[in-house]
Amino acid sequence: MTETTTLGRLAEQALARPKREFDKLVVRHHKQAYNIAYRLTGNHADAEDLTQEAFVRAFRFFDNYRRELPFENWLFRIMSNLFIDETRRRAKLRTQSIDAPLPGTETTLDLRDERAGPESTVLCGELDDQLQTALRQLPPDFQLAVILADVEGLSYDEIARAMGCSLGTVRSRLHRGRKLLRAKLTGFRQNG
Amino acid sequence: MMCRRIHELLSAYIDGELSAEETFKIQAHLDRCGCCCTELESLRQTKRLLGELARQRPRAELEYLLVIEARRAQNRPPSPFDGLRRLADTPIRPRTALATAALSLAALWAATSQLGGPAEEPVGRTIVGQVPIYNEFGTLVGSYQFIAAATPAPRVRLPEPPPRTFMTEPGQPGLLTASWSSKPRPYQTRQISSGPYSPQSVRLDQRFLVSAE
Repeated sequence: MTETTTLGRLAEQALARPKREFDKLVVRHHKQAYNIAYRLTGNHADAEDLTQEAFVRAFRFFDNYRRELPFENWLFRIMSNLFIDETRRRAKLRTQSIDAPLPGTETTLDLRDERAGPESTVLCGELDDQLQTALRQLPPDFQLAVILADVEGLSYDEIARAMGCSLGTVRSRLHRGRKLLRAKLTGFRQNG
Repeated sequence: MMCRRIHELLSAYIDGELSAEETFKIQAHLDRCGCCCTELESLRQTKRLLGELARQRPRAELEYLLVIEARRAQNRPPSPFDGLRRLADTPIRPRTALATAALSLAALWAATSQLGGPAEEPVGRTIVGQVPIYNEFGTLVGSYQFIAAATPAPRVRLPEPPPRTFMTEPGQPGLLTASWSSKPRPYQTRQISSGPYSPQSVRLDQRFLVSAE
């Protein structure tokens, strides 16, 4: 009986070990993941969804994670795939004005404003807003490369692993991304 | 080297990601080309601006929710697309790419062949808080069990007859969603719409009062 209990306890501990490891990784990396998600999506609600979906998928396939590689590279790879998939899916969706009634009805959508309040908007500054807008207008591959390199400071090797592409592709996407971003910022200044 | 070719390498030059030979060539070109120097400075400025963007911090309870939601999602039935997702999230080694692709296709076929089966969403697997429910005589009649989840509209169900009030115990932060259970048999339930619950997150470490409609 005692032996059975001990074995049961050992089995429980063995099963709990990957969960505890994952919990520590969440604590260590969720803030960076969230910042990337925010810069990719441009708002807190979508950033939270993207972060959550990335960690959920990471946990689901945790046995797939090769421990010799940094966890964050693998996580960013998952996040990159999710983001690009979602961007493509949204591009196919028909848009619906949030102020107009739903098609065929008189019902209008009642949506909460998920953006930050006016105080934080002022604090964040106009330049931050312009940069975020410009980032969101880049093609998703370019946007990812620029955020990982310039916002998060990852090396080309890390970005290549996160995006699943070659170093040459990273170099090209990053350079073209920066040039596009610069052109958009120049456009904002001239128009505004 | 032509200016056009130099321009293409300037981003990698700024990032220190060029070979020593490429770096040397670019430096030699920059010494005598004002146009490329201007381009270099402009790209540097763009990079600097991005580096100065304010860090966006998640709300405090996100860390906890990520752990809970990951656990909860693991209890869901496997999706037919898991094979493809696993493939997409794993760095592919060329030598094993073909074998991996073949295995994933086989896994996809196997998974999709079960598409017609039931795929009910299990709820209430991960419990982050329990609320004891007492009747008007102070007798414990059951408990609500709250799970953390990302579902948008939280619902709180009360037994019939609903207790006049109940209070949460100090506990972990989390989103309030449906799911409670009681023993030995489930209560008849009805939904309430009043009370301090909202579609946003609520901290369970606050003591608050809920009354039925």
